[in-house]
Amino acid sequence: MANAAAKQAQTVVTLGEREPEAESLLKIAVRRFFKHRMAVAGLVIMAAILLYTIGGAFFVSEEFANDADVTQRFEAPSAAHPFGTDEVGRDLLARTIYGGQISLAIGLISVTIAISIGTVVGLVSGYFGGLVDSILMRFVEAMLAIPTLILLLLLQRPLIEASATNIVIFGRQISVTVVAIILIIGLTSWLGLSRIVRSLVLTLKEQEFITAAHMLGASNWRIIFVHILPNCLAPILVSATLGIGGAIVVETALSFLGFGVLPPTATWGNILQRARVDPYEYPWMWMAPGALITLTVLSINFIGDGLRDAFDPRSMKGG
Amino acid sequence: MGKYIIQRILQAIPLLIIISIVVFSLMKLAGDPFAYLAQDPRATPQDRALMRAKYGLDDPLPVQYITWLVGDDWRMRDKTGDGELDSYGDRRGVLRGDLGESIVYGRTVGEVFSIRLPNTLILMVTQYVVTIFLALFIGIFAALRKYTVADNIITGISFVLFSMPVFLLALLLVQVFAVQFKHLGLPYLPVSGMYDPRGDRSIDELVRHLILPVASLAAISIAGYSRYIRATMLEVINSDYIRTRAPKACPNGVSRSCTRSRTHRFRWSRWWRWTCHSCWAARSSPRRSSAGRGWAPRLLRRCGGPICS
Repeated sequence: MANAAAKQAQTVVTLGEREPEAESLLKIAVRRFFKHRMAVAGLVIMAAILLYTIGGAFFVSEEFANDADVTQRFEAPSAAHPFGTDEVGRDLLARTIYGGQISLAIGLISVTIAISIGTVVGLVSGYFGGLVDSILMRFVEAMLAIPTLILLLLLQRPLIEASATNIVIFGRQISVTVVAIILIIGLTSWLGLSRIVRSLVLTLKEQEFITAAHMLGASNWRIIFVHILPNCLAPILVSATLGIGGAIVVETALSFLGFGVLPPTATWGNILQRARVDPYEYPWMWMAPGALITLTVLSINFIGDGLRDAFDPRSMKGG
Repeated sequence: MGKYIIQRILQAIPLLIIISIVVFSLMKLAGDPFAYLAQDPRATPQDRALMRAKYGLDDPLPVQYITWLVGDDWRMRDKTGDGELDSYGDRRGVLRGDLGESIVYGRTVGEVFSIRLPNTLILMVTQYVVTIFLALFIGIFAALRKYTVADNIITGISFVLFSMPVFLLALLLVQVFAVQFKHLGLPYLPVSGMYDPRGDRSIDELVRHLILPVASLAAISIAGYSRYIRATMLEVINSDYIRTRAPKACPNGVSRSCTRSRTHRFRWSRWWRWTCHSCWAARSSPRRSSAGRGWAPRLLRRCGGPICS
C-alpha cells in the first residue's frame, strides 16, 4: 500500500519534470503572427513603403519636391518624371516621397493620441463605474452620434485659423496645419476604443486577482495600470494598428475636401486634392498617391488582421 | 416590453440634449456667418451689426441655444442692436418644427432640406439595398466555400476595396467607365447630374446616372459587411442548433451538394433564413457583439484569467 503511494508520487514528480515549460502568450502570438501569410505580406509591403518614403529622401531633395516649374505643367509620366508633374510643374515622384512621410507621421502620432485618451477613458470609466462611468459614456455616445466628418470640419477651422505659420521639425519647414490635423484626428477617434476597453475592464475587475490586489492594499491607480491595463493590451494593439490606416484615410478625405494640410507641405491627401483640377484629363495626378494610400492602408489592415488572429485563441489557423 | 421601450426613450432624451448642445457649440466655433459681408463694399459695419442683432447672434450662447430649441416668440427681443427691446421674436424653435432660416439660401431650413432630401434618399436607399443584398450573398457564399480559391479572391478584393478612400474608388470607376469607355467608343456612363439636360427625366436616365455613385459607395460597404457576415456565418454554422438541424436539411451536413440539390431546396432556404437571422441579430447589436460576444472577452474566458500578471 505504502509502496504503491510512493510509486504514484514518483510518477507525479517525473511527469512534473518532463513537462515542457509553458510558452508565454506573447511568444505564442508572435509565432502565430509570423505564420499568418497575409500579415507577413503586410509587413513586407509596409517595409517597402517605409523604404520608399524615408530612403527616397536621400535621393531627392525637398527643394526639388517643392520646386514649381511652370514650363512643365501637367506632364504625363516619363523618364524624367516617372509619376508625371502637377498643375504647377512639381515632380510627383518627389512629392509622394515627402508627402508619404507626413501622411505616415499623421497616422502614427494621431493614433498615439487617440489610443492614450481612449485607453484612459475606458479604464477609468469601467473601473470606477457609477456617476463617472455614466458621464463619460454618455459623452462618448453623444460624440459617436455626430457624423465624424462634420465634427472634423467644424474643429478644423478654429485650429487652422489659430495657426497660420510654418514650424521646423528635423530641419524641414512644415505647415502648422499638420499639427492641427494630427490633433483633430487624435481627439476625435478615441471613442470606439474607450468602449472596447471599458467592456474589458468590466469583466476583468470582477476576477479574483483583482480582489487579491485589493486585499494586499494596492491603490486604485496601481490596480488600473499595473493589473488591468496589461490584460487589455491585445485589443488596444489591434485597434491601434487598424487606427493608423483609418487616420491616413481620414487625412486624405479631409485634404481631398480642401480642409487638410495646406501646401507647399505635401501629403498624399493634398496631392490627390490637387488632382481635382481635372481628374479625367490628368489621371496620373491621383493614380500614384492613390495607389500608395491604398497599399499602405491595405498592408496595415493585413497586419491588424494578423495581430487579431494571433491574439485570438479561438482561431487555430497557423497556430 | 412596453416599459422597456419607454425606459430606453427616456434615456435617449438627455443624450439628445447633450448632442444638440455639443453640435450647437461646434457650429458657433465655426465662426461668424456674416464674416463674408466684411469683403462686400456695399455693406457697412452698421449693416453687419444690424444683421447680427436681427438673428440674435450677439446674445449669450445659452440664450441662443434656448432660442434655437424653443423659439423666442414668448419674449421681447432687441432686433435692431440699439440696446432696447423692440418686439416679440418670430422663431418657434426646433421643438415646434421651426428649423430656422438659412442665411446662405435665404429660405427656411425646412425648405432647403425638402428640396435636397429626396435626392439624398434615392441615392442612399439604393446604395443600402444594393449593399445588403450583395453583402449577404457574397458573405454567405464565401463562408460556405471557406478557404477555397473563390473565397480567397473575394477576401483579397474586399481587403483592397476596404483600404481605399471612397473618392479614390469613385475616380477610378469614372476613369474606366466614363473616360476610357468614351475614348474607346463604347457606351459610357454619365459622371454628374441626375438627368441628361438634353434628355427626358425618365427613370432610365435616373438609373444610368445612379450607377457610378451607387457602385462606388456600395462597393466599399459591401467589402466591409460581407467580411462581417462571412465571420458570423462561420460562427453560426458551427453552433449546436445548426449542427443538429443540418443533417435534416442536407444529408452530408452543410456541403456544396446541398446547394445543388433541388429536393432539398425548401429546407436549404430555411437553413439560409436561420443563418441570416443570426447574422442580422448579431449585426443589429454592435454593443453586445463588441462587449460580450467579441473576440476579446472570449480570449479572456479561454485563457481562464489574466494574461500577463
